[in-house]
Amino acid sequence: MLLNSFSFLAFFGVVVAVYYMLAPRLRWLLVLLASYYFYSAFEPLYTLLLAYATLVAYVFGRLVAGGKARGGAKGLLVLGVLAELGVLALFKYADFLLGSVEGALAPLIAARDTLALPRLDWLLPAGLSFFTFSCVSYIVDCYRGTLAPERHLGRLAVYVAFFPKLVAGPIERAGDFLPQLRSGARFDRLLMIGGLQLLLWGLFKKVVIADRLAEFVDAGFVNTAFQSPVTVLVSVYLYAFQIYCDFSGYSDMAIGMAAILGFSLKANFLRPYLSANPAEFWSARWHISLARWFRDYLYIPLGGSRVAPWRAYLNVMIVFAVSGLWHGAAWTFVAWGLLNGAYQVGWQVIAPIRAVLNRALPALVMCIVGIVVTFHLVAFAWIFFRADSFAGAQAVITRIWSNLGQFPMLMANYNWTWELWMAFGLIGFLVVVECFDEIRSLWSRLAAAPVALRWGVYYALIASLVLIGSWGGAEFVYMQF
Amino acid sequence: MSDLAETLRSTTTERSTPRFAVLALRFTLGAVLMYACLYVWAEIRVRETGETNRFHQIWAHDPQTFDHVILGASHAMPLSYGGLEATAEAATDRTILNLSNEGAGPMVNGFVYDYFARKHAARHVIYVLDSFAFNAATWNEERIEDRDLFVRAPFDPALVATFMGAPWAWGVFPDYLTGFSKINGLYRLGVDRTDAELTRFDTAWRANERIDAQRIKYLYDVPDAEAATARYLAAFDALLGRIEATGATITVLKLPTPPRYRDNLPGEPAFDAQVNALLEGRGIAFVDHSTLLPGDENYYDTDHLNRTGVEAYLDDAFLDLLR
Repeated sequence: MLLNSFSFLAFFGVVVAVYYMLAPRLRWLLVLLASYYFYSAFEPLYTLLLAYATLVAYVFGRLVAGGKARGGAKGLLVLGVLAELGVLALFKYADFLLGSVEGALAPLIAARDTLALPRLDWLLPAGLSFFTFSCVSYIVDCYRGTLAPERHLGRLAVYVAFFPKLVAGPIERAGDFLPQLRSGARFDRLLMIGGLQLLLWGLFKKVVIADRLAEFVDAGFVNTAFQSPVTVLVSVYLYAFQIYCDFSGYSDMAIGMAAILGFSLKANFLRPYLSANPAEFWSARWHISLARWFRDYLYIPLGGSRVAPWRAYLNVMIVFAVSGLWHGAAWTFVAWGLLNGAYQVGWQVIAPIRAVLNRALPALVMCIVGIVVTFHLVAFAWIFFRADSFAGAQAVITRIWSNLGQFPMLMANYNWTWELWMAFGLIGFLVVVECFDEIRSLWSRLAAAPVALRWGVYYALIASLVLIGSWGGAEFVYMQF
Repeated sequence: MSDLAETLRSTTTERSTPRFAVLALRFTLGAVLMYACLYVWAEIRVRETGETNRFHQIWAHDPQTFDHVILGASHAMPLSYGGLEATAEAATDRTILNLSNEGAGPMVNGFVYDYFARKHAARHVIYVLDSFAFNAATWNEERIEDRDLFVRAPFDPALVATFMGAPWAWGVFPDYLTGFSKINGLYRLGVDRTDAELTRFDTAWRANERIDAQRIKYLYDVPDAEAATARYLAAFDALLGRIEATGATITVLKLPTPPRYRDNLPGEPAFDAQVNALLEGRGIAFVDHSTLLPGDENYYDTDHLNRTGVEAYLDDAFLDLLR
């Protein structure tokens, strides 16, 4: 049951209706049942994984509570975290590891074909990485004493399984979520309106933009060697927007649905392609909940930036390599992570040059150049994220690079279909909206606008969903992580 | 977008607005009205632009008795490509309505015929047989769920009635009733002709064993094919019964296919034997023309007749059948 399907929207409508008919003290139970029902729609058996992750978090959260201050319980903390990550490792990385070992050993063995390590071939549970990280952060926060362990197993289960965010985040912290649950979410008209707005906007980004771009992206990344270089280049640019609209669309829908149910979740994206540098992109604008997770639970424990420069750079590279691996069990994801890590390190290394440029050039010029350069760096890294293999990524890069000088001629003769122009138009619309939002929140603008204008915007979005939305049931890219 | 709760706290205008439920109701009514307008617009466009969609064809004709109605899957579709159906009609002085659909098994054909029978009549029905269409739900119950079949189907109470009589097709019924697919996807309101007719019908195929094998694997490598075939032969038998009940005569026909394709179809002789037994019981003719045109110059892909093939087939056999 995908968030962009009619069946899910119907399911959500029923949940909301029943939710507000129930007494507030019982609502957590409905959300829990709805969440497990939602997850069982992917694979009923995997609800056991959800229950397991919750139980481990519950038990170890209580066992390690305040352990850091007491100077003990570190072993239990490690055990709890391993119990959570072990499942992730088994389902997501076991086959990858076996494949990598097989690949590494193959050249050393004479009869290469005879080396075939067994594989688990298990279906990766949707959202496993997300709820595992939620559980790990809960246990660690309990250990650090920044969070009191939840005594009510049901409430903790809701935190782990809360269906709007279950399969693709945001990775909400228990410290932000559980107090809202304990106080009993009540009907809040403002949250309801804001939630509906976000739900609509997220759906628009996913169904109208991301899924419309997908077909052009696929064209460039499949049989790349036989595609026009222009097709390949266009697909690289469009993928940057496809994945943004796909993932941020999901996040907006998740935050919107949570708001409709009376919960306030943290923002997960803040107009990332308006970042003026790679550091800003990762620290404040793209997949914020994951970036903060890695900062708090990996980067800082590694020593963060309060170490020698070389060690700080190494920490950054480790964090980004792990982040890549978190996204997918393939070396292309590791390469994507390392590339982004290299951008961060590079950004810090060129600080003296930046200082000179900042003095020499107007701030606006620096800002625009920074945005353009950052976008291209990020878009380049996405090639490794999207490609099925290194060979695929190499094919994309080679196809573009080897024809670079011919692009003016190739573009002049290219078949620019009206569907492609519509895709560019949608991206242009998105960029304009984000620029306005950057200056002043669009929600504030809308709230202050006359009803006719406000409703006109909503109706226009709904009309575009109906008219040009792609309702083929395409999965969200990040669900596979 | 920026943090939702923070933003909402900073806005005050909404707080002073009373009667949220009334506003919500008004907004919903506005949305429904907008949808109704889009529906009417899409319905008009569908009626204007529909051409080869089978439901549109049935709807567009005044009630009449056709001399020949053709049912079947994609092999039968080229018979009306490129104006050749009109050629056949002129040569035989008979009216023809080709209702075959891509990937359509007997259940889908039964559905289309039932709708046809509510508005028209046929003197003779030619069912073009494709064995693959009998081996899986993909070509039957699941095939009817393809909304693309209905994107140019005008709203028609007769089609609604057909749906009511076919509970197995109700998965797509809400989509048809609400007209969602007609509104959604503007590109569908362009030319109502298949890509095969527009771009490949006038080309000749260069044979490729690997592609033949892929095509056969795609069509025939399905689990539980035997049980499915028995089920869909029963559905086929029921359809023949319904056609006969209207007083129409029936011919079951196999169209020409190239030997490189035909000879590699798994279980084809056994399937033919099953069909023969079924047809003998009903006294229906089974005409096998599959070996008539062996050359690749007659096909635009692995197994579909191109213009050269259809023209040759008209001259060699089909016109005689129509006369």
